[in-house]
Amino acid sequence: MDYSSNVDGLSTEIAIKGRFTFQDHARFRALVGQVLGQDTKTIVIDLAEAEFIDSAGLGMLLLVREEARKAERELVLRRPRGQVERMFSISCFNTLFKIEQ
Amino acid sequence: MLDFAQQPARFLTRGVTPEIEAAFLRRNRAAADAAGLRTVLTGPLDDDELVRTLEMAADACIELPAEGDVPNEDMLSTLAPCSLYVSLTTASCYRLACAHAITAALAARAGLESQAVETTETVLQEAILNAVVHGNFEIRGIDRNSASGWVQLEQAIAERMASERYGLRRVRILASWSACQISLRVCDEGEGFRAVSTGLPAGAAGSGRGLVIMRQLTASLTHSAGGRCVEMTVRR
Repeated sequence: MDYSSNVDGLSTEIAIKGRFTFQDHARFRALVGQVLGQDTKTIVIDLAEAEFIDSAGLGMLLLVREEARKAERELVLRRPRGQVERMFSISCFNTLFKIEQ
Repeated sequence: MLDFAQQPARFLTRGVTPEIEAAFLRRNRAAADAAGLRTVLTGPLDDDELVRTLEMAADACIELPAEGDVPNEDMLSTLAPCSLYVSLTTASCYRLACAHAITAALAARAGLESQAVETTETVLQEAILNAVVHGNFEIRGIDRNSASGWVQLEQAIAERMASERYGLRRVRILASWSACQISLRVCDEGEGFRAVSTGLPAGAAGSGRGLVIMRQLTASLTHSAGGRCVEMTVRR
């Protein structure tokens, strides 16, 4: 997994690129800690360039959801594509997240 | 790159000591010869070496340790034509993008369409993840709904990776193909398990989705060897 993050006013955006799998959990957890430390109201995770996600990647998104809820931040998942969109559908993520195209 | 196309040998080796190679052949040569296999024996792998090894058009790719005991590869004698067998240490399975590399090799050999490639890689990734974490590392019961649960999981994995007992256990992947389907078998060396749940985990639970995803995407899924092996078929 590669990522970039950008703070834009009241929103922090994380763009995930490549494969987002079990091997990435330590780095992703550290990234989320960093983002939650910033004083923005909304966290956007952009998945347009995420090529592949596994069940552990889905679990990590659920962890962000829980941490964002505790910190009273809004969480948005943006532009899932291909295999990632298919995994969201299987896991009924549309009932758990705000997903934007 | 040295390949079976240039070399009529049954066995090629990459980064394996002569002693380890000899020990492996003493134990497994009869099974491999009986099945008429082309086998690559390789030393400890990284992502690039795994890809290069799988590009060698072998029927079987077996990662061997730098020293110590060599594995007993009984499954070699059961390989049919149009098959690929990969045997890796748990540590390599955890570190490397195995599902991606194996699926790419399958796609090249079997001429898979993009949807079948995506499905195969997805279910193979879940099966390998289960074989590593719950099978060979025997990690169960950690609540992954909190950051502290993930830290606990990371610590448990680091301990298992450093342990000879857990880290040197193997994950074995057998893939075969026909005109209409891909068959996958993934086996670990853990204590086994009994699959009971068939639905999605409740609400936003952070774990328990892997088996559900595998069931959703495969035409069939069964467990054998007391839960140490999972067999799946994917339609092409």
